Amino acid sequence: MTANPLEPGASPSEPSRRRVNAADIVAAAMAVAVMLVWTDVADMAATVLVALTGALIIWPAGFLAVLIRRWGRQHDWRYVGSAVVLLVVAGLSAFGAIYFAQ
Amino acid sequence: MDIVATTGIGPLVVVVLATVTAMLGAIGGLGGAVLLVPALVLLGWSPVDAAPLGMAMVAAGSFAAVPAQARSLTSNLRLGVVLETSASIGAAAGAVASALLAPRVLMMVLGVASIVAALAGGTRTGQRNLPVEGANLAALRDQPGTLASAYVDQRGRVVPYQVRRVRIGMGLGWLAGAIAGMTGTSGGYLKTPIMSEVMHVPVKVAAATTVFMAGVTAAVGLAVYAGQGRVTAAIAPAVLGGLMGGRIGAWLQPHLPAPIVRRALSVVLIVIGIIVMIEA
Repeated sequence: MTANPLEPGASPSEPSRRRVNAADIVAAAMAVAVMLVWTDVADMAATVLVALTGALIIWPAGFLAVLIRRWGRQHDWRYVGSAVVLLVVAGLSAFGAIYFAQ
Repeated sequence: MDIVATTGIGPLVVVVLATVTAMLGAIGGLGGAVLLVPALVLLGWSPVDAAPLGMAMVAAGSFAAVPAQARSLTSNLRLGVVLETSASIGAAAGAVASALLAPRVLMMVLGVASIVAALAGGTRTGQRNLPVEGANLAALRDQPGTLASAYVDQRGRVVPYQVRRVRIGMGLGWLAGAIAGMTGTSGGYLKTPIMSEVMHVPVKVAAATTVFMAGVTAAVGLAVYAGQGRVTAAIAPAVLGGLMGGRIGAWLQPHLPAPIVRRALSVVLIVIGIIVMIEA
């Protein structure tokens, strides 16, 4: 089992144990979908591509949520506050830009 | 695909370009869109069509690189979150202010800032943060309540570091965010030199931290493009290249000596500065 890299005390030797991550799985799915769209084999693949791109939009929010949980456990409130502010600012920026663009 | 129909270049070219720029981005701490978008424009894309590809490539590169860089203990996530808070507020202000200022002036400011940052890092000799034999990595890194941390260099030695001038860094981070917001970039090529040269953070840590910050910025930008209906299958090659380049860059970076990363970053920053000033 691989240690959580976000936990304190993780050692630099751990990366070599974990060879595949979520980005690799998305990359593999993307590669297959690009091939299918490129060769006009399946129009459905275009929908899959857009859905996978959606993952790129939401991952920072998930990553920040993990950090908030971790720093909350450490009672590291200043950085919990910074991460919450960042989530709110980023969300408001995106919402505001989309709202005004429409 | 409509890429071929509109520009005459195939998705494979976009994949290769995005892979190279995302790899450079992950190593040098740049978003990379500032390199990819001009390259696509040179190949026949309109800037309006190329912009979402640049943003998608940055988001994908960051998505691929950040977990690997977090596991290799290179990125300082606390520092990234703190600096990005002020940079995001600056970016929002910059986006609003962009309507009030001449784009040509903004681009010239961006180009000059990029070259000044390149000279600051490229002309510095020596290494500020030196490895400490036998240091306890677990005790030095991620200490609650502080931004100080440590990383492991290419020879496996522990390098502790302090983060200096946090307030000045946050102020400059706000400014970098504002310039980024005004010019529609992630501003990573300004944030890395700020962390490295002003806050005295090791350049590899600064670069990895910037990759995380650029991912947050790019995700917001991508959400905006999605809201405008501009996220289509045509951007998939850029996403695929970004994922591969981010992974390769994150794998390469820990194996490179810090002075080489710093000088390579300076060269790329000078190229960016020249590109931006020519565009202006």
